[in-house]
Amino acid sequence: MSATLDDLREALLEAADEALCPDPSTTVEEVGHAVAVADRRRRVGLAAAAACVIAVGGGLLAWDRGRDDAGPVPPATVVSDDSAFPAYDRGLKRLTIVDLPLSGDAEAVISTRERTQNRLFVVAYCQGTGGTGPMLSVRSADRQKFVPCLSRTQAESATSRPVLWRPADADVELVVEPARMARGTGRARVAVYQEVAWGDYRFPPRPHDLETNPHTAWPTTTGSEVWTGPADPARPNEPLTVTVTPHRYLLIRLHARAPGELRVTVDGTPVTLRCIGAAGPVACDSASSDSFTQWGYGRAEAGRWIDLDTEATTLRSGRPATVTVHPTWFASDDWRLEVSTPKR
Amino acid sequence: MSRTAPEGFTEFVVTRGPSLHRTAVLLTRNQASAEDLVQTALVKAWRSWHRIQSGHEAYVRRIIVNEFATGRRRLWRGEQSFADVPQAVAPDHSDGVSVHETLIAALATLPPRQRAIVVLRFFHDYTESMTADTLGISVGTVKSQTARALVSLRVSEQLVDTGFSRSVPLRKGLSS
Repeated sequence: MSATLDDLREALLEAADEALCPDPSTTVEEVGHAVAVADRRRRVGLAAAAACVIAVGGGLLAWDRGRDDAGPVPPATVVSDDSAFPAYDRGLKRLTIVDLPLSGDAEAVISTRERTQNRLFVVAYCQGTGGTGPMLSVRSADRQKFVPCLSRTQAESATSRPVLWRPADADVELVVEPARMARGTGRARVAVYQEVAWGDYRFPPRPHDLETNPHTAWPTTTGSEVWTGPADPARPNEPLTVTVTPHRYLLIRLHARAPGELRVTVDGTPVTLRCIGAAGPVACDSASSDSFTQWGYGRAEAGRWIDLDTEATTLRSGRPATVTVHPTWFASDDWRLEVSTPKR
Repeated sequence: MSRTAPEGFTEFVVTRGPSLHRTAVLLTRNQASAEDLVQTALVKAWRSWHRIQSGHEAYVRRIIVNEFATGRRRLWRGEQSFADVPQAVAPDHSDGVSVHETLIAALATLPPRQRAIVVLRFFHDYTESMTADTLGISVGTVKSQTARALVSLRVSEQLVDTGFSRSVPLRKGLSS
């Protein structure tokens, strides 16, 4: 089946209509702030900022007390721990936590090393702001992003996003401060995270009741044509192939309940996946990701619904296809492949 | 610390910001990345606001598509937070909706410049000449890239409407 140009135009209109436009006054405020920050950075330069330096984790933290005006700088502190910010979370390692006043002119300068594959993330929550949702400014060199300051409850379940535009293998300074429109009463807790390699991630201990706990045990039946785990539970990272004959649709679901990563191919071609249930600390990096990763314990799934009539695919109705799951990093019998071939 | 906006800038963002944001959303397919893209473009426009004689919207849109098309945001392409991820994968809808969803999904797989061309040509209805001027490429490149993009999107040659001026034939036989 092919689409027409009218279909394309309508699809673009629909997609554009779904966009949630930001408040224009906020946009103007942010742009003005970004311009001012960039101008000031040009004037002051990076080297003149830090007055004292404290070693924190893998990086360095400094407080800027040499700002443009001579007003008193409220105290800002490094926090050793905060239950809202786990030391390891969904593939990220916490570098530091800072407690930042929203009043005055304080800022935190966090020096670390950014790597292309180890991006930096910032997540924050605010207290005592009177219910408003202030923004924090995070800048590096002449770039600036705004990070929402959530409630503590929101921060505990938030998935942050990278704070740099172009991750690069270089030393960077992240300067965190309340955005101008956010200044007032209250304080912000700001955590900086960095992606880490699988081998450097500290996983939680394996629950003793993994196989019997209803949150992690597999369902007894799913009604699907294929429901299978590793062929040999002692070798959970061996690829597994099944052959199915799709009709109009092919539904593939991958389930994981413990740390590991899953990819799937159909007739040798990688299949892009979407997160379906994120009950556990699972990471699907993007809508077009060809893998999904489970970083902790809890049943989660990702999958793909392929419509043979409308998608660009070499699959043909009534012709057998091979579905291969490629597991990595699993320590035990902790993943399942589910395949269905509904006609409608 | 914020600067005072140049004269007319605030009004421009209020009136044209949504349109620019829609362009950015179609390019990036991600709300947060779109906001970043628009903000980056507006920061640049702010600095040269008084030098822009006319056509502020076209000027800012040009920055947006070029920031995107030159690959500066490739590492951000498709990035989504959990909040953006649909909770179900089964498109249990009518065929018309499925076609639209498939087209938008396929759009996200196009190289940045082809995606920019598709958005300018078929969302903003730019002519080939306007598209070429905006992206700083030749009309011939616009034509060839448009044709390739439509092949990738599997838009039918037979069903192309009369409003589409096409000089490069689309290949047949790619549809299932």
